[in-house]
Amino acid sequence: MKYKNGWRSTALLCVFILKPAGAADQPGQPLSVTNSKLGVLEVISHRMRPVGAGVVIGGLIGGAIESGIESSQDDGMKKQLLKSFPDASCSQPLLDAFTARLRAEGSFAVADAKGKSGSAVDIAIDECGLHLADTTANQFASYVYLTLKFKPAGAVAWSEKIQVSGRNRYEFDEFLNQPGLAQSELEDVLKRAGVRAADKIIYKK
Amino acid sequence: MKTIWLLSVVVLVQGCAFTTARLNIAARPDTNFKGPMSQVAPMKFDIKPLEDARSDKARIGWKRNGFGQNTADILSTRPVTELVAEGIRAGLKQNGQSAGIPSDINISGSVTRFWFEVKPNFWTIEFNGNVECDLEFVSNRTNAVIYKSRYSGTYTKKTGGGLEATWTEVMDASIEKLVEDIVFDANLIEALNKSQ
Repeated sequence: MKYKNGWRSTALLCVFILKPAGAADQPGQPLSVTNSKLGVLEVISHRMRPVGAGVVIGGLIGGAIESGIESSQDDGMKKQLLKSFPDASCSQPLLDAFTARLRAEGSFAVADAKGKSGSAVDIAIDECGLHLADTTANQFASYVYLTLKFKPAGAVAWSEKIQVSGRNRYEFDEFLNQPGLAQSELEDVLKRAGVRAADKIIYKK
Repeated sequence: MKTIWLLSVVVLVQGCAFTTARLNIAARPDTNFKGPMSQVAPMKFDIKPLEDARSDKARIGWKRNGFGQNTADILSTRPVTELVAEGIRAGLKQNGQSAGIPSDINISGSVTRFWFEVKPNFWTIEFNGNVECDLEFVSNRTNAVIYKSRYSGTYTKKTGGGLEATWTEVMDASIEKLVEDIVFDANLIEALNKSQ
């Protein structure tokens, strides 16, 4: 399968094969689903924070060094978070919501990823986790960035970036101290992103 | 000769850094917002003037010099509340809904964030746009709030560099992501269906 922008299904890092559902409940056209990038939980604290002292003192090189330091701080926060949420998954809740939405709507029959006919979709989860959403109050929200690539049967392939943020804001310590909070906030945003991705395919004309 | 050329570049860059940038931001007309809201029976919405509740109302971002110091404002040529309202209107229209009075649903709320930020990385520069608003949907028939939520639109672009055209593109896309967040909101759609 050759796509407009050159990527091939054979080059996918990971193929997520979905269990075919019964034809009775899925009368739509066949759709194979792959998940080429599973996504890894991240904590991003600096992205929307104004440029710091490193840049002021050292110019762009200083900024780049500071960026590296901030990444290291984020890694530390991520390790703290993973202690209370070790089995974090960026992909499963999203893919489950994606396929559930497609099945409920009925335009597509989600099929084996090896199928050669019909349409094909790939979901690459670029980032997911917690990011600093309110720089004034220093509060975090769950988020996910993904790239949706869709090849409709007999039509031109398209791709779109979907970026979804959680509705709620919390201080980072609240995520560490309230059991289940990080998981529920992350799952909520992943499910919304999965439904959004499915709706993009269903309604794209 | 080489020194003069280098000095010219420095002066040019520094000169640009001290000039206010005015971005002509708008949701692009070819953006496709069509989604599940198109299944809601057509309703008329009245978008009340949104409140500007941003913590920094004077600008939408900072222009910086080569040392990263804030040197000039980045502004929007139009009020951010208008841009958001216009985006919402476009999103509703593409989904078969209309704007006007007398309305079925009144939309009110505030724009809480409209910000552009640049982060230098080792090999790339990351441009980030973020637009957020709090919205309330009120039934005109019962005067009850049928739904309220915070909405967020974020767009990130990593490139080797970029000037005002890139910044505008990032903020355009951020508004579009915000509108998408609203018109694809399953809970809002459920509330609208129930209100009829």
